[in-house]
Amino acid sequence: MAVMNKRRFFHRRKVCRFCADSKLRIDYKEPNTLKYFITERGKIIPRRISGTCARHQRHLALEIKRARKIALLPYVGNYEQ
Amino acid sequence: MNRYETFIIFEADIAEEDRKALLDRVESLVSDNGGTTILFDEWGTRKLAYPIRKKNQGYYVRMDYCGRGTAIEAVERILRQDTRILRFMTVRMATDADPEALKAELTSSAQEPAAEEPAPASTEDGAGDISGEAPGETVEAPAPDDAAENETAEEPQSAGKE
Repeated sequence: MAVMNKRRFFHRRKVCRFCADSKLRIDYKEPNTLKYFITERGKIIPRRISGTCARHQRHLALEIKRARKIALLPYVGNYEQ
Repeated sequence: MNRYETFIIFEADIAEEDRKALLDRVESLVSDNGGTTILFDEWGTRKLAYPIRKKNQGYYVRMDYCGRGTAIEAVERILRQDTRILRFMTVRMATDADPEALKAELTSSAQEPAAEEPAPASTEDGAGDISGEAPGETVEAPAPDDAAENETAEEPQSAGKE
């Protein structure tokens, strides 16, 4: 019970980066922006972790997949690491 | 007419004339099919995120054009046949695009220096922050941030207890 109360206490409110900053575009041509939403292994970070809203997460996933296709982002892993 | 964008990745060591010849051919195919090419945006040689056909580098060209599906078919067919092309991808950017308007927009934005862009953008943004959001939201917005800071400060302690 005590643990439950604590959990509620340090629950952190996450804000969608794309809702907060309208200038930040989700575009497969900008791998440097998309890079923050994939893991080192190249996986797309779930929105429960990144805090991205559903609408932007959908868009983000699509653009990451496009970027992968034209080799701007890796499908899997970073070979250098 | 739709607006499309095609990325073409050439082998990095392709001769410039060959590349130009192919891009010219693509452009003529688009116009033959009733489309209009807006621009060729050459990104140049880039490192690929993963090797394609054992190549680590590729020459990226982005092509922006308006046309119908038939133009895409024609373009993609010759891209597929060419062995010096590592990969290509076509994305539809907009439906019912007007190529003339897009061209005009492009030339006007090219004439105005980039320095002019940030200034209006920032004022718009300021206005957007005040008017765009409901008053309730603007009040609410800082609160989670503060809360988040407090929580992060306390997080290690409680984590230790657990």
